[in-house]
Amino acid sequence: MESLPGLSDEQLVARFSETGKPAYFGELYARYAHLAFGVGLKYLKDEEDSRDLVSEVFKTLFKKLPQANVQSFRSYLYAYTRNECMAILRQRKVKFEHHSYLRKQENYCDDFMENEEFLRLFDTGPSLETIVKEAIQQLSEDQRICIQLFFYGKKSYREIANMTRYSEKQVKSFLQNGKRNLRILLKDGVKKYSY
Amino acid sequence: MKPKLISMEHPGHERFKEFFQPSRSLSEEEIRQYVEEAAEEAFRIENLLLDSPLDSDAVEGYASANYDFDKKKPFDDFDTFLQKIRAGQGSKKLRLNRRKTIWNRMAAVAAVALVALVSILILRPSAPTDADLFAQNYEFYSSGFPTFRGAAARLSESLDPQLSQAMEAYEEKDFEKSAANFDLVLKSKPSNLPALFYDGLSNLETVATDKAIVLFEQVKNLGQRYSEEASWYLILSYLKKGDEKQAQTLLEDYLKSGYHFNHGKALKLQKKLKSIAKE
Repeated sequence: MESLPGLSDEQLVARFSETGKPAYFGELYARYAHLAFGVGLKYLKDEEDSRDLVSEVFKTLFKKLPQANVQSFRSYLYAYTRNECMAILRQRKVKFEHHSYLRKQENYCDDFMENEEFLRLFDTGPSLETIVKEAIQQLSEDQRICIQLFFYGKKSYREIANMTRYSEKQVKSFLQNGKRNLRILLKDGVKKYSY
Repeated sequence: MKPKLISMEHPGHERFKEFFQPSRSLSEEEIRQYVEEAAEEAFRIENLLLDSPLDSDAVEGYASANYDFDKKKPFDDFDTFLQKIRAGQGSKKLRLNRRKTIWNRMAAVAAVALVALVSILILRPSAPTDADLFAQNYEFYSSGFPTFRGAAARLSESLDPQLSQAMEAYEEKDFEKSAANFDLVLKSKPSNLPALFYDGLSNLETVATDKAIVLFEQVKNLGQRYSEEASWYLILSYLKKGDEKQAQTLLEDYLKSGYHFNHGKALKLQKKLKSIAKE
């Protein structure tokens, strides 16, 4: 059998779907079980429930993965794990009625896929310093400050928080939103100057 | 005119590529190092956390749980997992079913108790007072705002900080604090619907019934989100105030409007109010 650690997640999913050999799934389990457990810790606040969550999520994936049309295993696993958490929380009578919160999470979930698409575009031509500068200037002040410190200064969330008036959570939020906006602006910019 | 191109070797290009480069997920050891602030590659990790909610939530989960990474892994290794799959076991289902059974029993006991309580209330000779009717019909309206740290903090990022503080206080049933915070939000945003509605509820809880009435009327008149709920709590506010007549008038309107919120309760309340009026 080929070297499993060398295969991408999606290759492992494809091989598992084709052959049904558990070893392929085992590699995915090794890569991600601890992350699903961490998601459980975040939402369920209970180690035992999080352990059960890992078991249940991977058990279902083991059965469903061969039929599922999975484009990004990481995104698929996250969506499924979080949905399971929500179902368990609902059982605990904890209501999550704030759709804005869920919507925000869902948008956030798409970013990883968008990165790859964006990079392909970025690789089609040389980078344009002007576009980058213009794009950064178009960000809001909060996002611009955080992006510059993070990207150019390679500062951590905490260091940025210490250097600014923002909390660490705000820094992370500004960076997430700034990066998302920057991706859109750069994509538009690269397209504009490509013609 | 095309802007001047920078070369592929330009450090900015590579840095930007790094910034947007998809990265593999974190290993348990990397999470440990990051959580314990010993990570050498903080930039790579934090950059990944911006894009991967799976890793971000997991790190947040381990950090908030003060997880002890030295102890044995709490979840099965893959071989054990596979054995369980082959044996057709599912620990969670078993556990949840067991819990469900316990809950079912408790629910049955609660249902019997509830029926007994309702019977006593219905059969007792004296007519209920407005205060009784209020108590029978009033229920805390949960906003669903998560009170645990991680989710509340994340939600707060998308909300007005004052509003999220108020929501958090409300959900923690600190109604004086929530009312004060909602008032502050309304100073700058007088038509903020959630603030108006939850301020009404907070005031109803803190016995500032007149103020609650004004707020619920505002929400009701805006005719948007929360208007059904506000109409219901407006009825209850008048009951609490002892203005049974106004409560009854509003209740008739409420039922004619075809509102669904607490419809069953509204019908029962209507019957009771009518029987009291006859007496």
